[in-house]
This record gives sequence, structure tokens and C-alpha cells, in this order.
Amino acid sequence: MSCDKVRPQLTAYLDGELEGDRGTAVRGHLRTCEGCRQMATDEAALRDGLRAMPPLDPPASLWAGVQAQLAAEEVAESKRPSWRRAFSRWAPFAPRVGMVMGALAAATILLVWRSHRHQDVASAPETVTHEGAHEAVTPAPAPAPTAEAADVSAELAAAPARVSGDYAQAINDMLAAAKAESAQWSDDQKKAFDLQVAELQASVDTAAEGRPRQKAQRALIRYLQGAAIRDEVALR
Amino acid sequence: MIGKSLLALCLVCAPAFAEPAGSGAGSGANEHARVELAPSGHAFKQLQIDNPLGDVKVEGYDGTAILIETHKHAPDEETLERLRVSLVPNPDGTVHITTMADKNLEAKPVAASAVRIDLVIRAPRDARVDASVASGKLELVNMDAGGELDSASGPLSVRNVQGEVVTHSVSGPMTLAQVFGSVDAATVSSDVDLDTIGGEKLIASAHHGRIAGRRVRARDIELTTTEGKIMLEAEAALHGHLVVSSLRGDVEVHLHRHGAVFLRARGSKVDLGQQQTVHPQPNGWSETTIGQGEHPALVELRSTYGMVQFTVVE
Repeated sequence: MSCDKVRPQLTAYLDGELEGDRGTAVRGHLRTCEGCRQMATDEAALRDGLRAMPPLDPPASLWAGVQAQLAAEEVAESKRPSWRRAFSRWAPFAPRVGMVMGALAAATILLVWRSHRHQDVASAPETVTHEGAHEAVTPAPAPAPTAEAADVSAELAAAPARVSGDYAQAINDMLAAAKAESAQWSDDQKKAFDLQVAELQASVDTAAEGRPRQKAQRALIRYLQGAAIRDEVALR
Repeated sequence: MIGKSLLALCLVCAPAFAEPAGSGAGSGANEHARVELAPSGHAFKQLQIDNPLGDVKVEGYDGTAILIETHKHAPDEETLERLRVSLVPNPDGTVHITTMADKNLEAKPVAASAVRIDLVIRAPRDARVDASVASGKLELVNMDAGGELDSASGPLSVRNVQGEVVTHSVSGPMTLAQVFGSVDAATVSSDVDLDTIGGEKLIASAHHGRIAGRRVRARDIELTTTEGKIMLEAEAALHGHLVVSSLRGDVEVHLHRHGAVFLRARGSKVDLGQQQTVHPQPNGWSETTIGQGEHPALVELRSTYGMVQFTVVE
């Protein structure tokens, strides 16, 4: 197998999507080709780096915007005539209906063809016909399952970011709870709360991924709990 | 410096411990091994263990050496060879034990759930333990210098331990029993069980989870949940503070009293028992003093949207 044939397949190989002989062939080539091995190493490092990146939290305003847009669409929908609403309900299925009709047509042609073949050749065409019908109605085979594709070393590298993401979710929950409770606070308390949250969030943002960031996140969660539940808005 | 690096490097390069048991037990490939690390001149003061691939159990004993048993499991021999345990003793008395899976581009990818390294470590009782796991179980037993335990989703268990203990997890349930020292236990979405805790300070918090404590005696106690119920059976210390707070969970406290107690409580419904003379305050708090004497313990119970129940056990 030459480098020109191996290199386009490296991504699929690293994703674990090359099965059987194809995977073996690429693996065998990598054992002997320094250049391709280096390219595979670089690509794997890039993937690990991407996996380790912290998840991006959308701003709270985004959800508010989505909700506003949904509400506006519901209002517009209620004003449309009933026949247009009925048509709209079926419109999204039009491509699928077309596909099903196409598949039925293909199956009909194949059945006709099969009956002709049976008349001409009694024994051979069974498998051919079956494969043809199979291709007409079945989508392409799914890629290899993720559990097989992901390697343990990559999973371990991505684990700290995943844990930080879980802590970030808890922070968002607590922040929402604290904001809800802040209606009863004085202006000075609200100002102190915003200041403390900003400081603690800055600590989270500047901490290195892994234990340092998780430690900073836990400090923020603890502060938010104190503020939301015990009205302790100033750090002790 | 060079000598220390060489020592560390040698031990990292020799992770295959003595007595490999080979494969054959169960499906896939397995390896069991043991190693003994004897102190050279100075005692082991601290163990730092990081095992993202399985369980960790650290058990204290009266010896001076560290005994490590490793149990590795993988789908095949090739993958088993990728599983590593590194052991790095430092001159300052700290020992680092870390597990990892080598990155091998030529090997077939294997999921983390398909491999395992479990560690059983016997360590001198007076060594402090800092340990972390991912989804495996983490146990600390019979130690005298406390430790800090961290888990993503695996359960944490601390039993018969003295010294300061800090535990945190995202979703791993925590059980701390017979801990004599300050405790700080924090979890995001799991439960915290406390049994027989005695120390200067006890802080426990859960976001989505309950906290249950019994036979708790600490000078300062602070239990907090956002969603879960808090149940506590505790003793009040003179000058002590007991603060139990929840946003949406119920709060239920049974207090063994030895001196005077100043109690304040607030909740959607408050039940302070029948014998108390309760003074409702304009700010929503109900206050009462139980017993007589100087230096009363302060007990503050609060649930913003839940019930508060309090009883005294004389």
C-alpha cells in the first residue's frame, strides 16, 4: 500500500472506522513508513488537543432569544389559515415520501426483473436479487460504534475537561438559583455578589485544566450555595 | 537532583512488578502483581495516587513499607501491555503512584471501559493520602494522617481515619464513618453519608443529593444542600455552631444537648418540638433558647422552600 493511498485514510483509521483488512493494511504501512507515522501522530495529537478543550457555555441571552423566536413563530402560526397549517405539517415529509415512492418503484422493477430471471435462469440469481433489493431500501452501513472508535488514551486525555464541564453545569444551576434569590437582597448585596462571582469565575477561567480548574470551580459552587441558601454574599 | 531523577526514571521504567500472574482468569487478559517499596533512610510521609482506570483501596498498617497489589485487565495481551503503573518515590518522603494507558497508534483502539487497573495499597498509618479515581471505587481505611480524595463518578469510602479529610466528587456517593478530624465533603449530584464523625469542623455540601449524618460531634458543623434532604443526629458543643441549610430540601435535626442552646430556624414549615417557647421574629425566623448556662451553642436551621424539624434528645 502506497503513501498516497494511506494518507487519505488516516482520519478514518484513527477514528477506528477502518475494519478488517483495510485497517490492517494501514497499520502495516504505518509500521514501516516514518513519514506516514509522523502524520498520524500529528493528527492524533491535534484530535486529543481538541477533545481536551473546555466546552463552550452559550450565553444566557441565547436561550432567551431562542424562546422569544419560538414565541413569535407560535403567534404567527396561530394567524395562518387552517389549510396552510395542514399543508405545512405534511411539507417536511415530502422528501421522505418521495424516497419511499422511489424505493417502492425500484423494488417493483427488481421484482419484475427477478421474475424474468427466474424464468430464464432457475438457480443463480437469488443472492443478486436480494442484494439489489437490500441496497434499494436500506441506508448505508453505520460507522463503527463510538466505544470501539475511542481509544482509552484519548478518553483519559479528555476526562478532565468532561469533569470540568459537569462542574460548569452545576455552577450554571447555582447561579440561576442565586439570581432568583437575589430579588430579596439589597443593592449593596447584589453588587458584592456580582463582584465575588466575577472574581471567582476569573479564577476558574485562568486555572489550568484538570485539578486546578476543578478546585476553582468547587470554590465558586460553594460560594454560590452560601449566597443562594444562606444569603452570604460576602466571602468569609 | 540527577540522582533523584534517575531513581524516578528507573522506577517508571520498571512498572512490571514482581510475580506477574499472567493471563487466563476470566475472559480477556489479566495480570496480578505485587511490589514492596521499603523506605530508604526516611519514612514515607505522603502517597499521591492517580488511578483513572479502576479502583483504589488504601489501608493503613503498622509497618513502614508500602505494599502495592495491582490487578490489570484488558481484552487481549496486546492491550494489557499498554496498561502501566508508575511508582515514583521522592526524597521528601512522597510517593507518586499513577496508572496510564500508553498511546499506541499501531494497536487497535480500545475503549476505557474495556480495560481496568485496580490498586490495593497497604501503607504506613501515619502517611497522608491524596488519591483520585474516575469511575472506580476509592477507599481509605485505618489511616492516621487523613487525606484528600477525589472522584468523578466512583463511590468514595473513608473508614476509621484520623486527621483532616477532604473528599469531593461530581456524582460519586460518599460514605465517611469513624473519622476523627476535620471533614470537608463536597459533591455535586450524589449523597453524603456520615457516621461517627468527631473533629473540630465538619463541612458537607451536596447540590443534587441528600446528606445523612448520625453520631456527629464537631465544634463547627455546616451542612448544605440545594435540592436534597438533610438528616442529622448530632451533639452540640459548648461555643459550637451547627448550621444546617437547604434551598429546597427538608431539614431534620435531632440534637443531643449537654448545655444551653440558642436555636433559630426558618422554613416553609417549622416544627421545633412541643417543649420549646418559640419567639417568632419579623424577619421570618423562629428563635428559642433551650436550657440554661453560659456559652450556649448556636443552632441555625433553614430551608427556603422545605420543612424544618428539630427535636432535642436529652
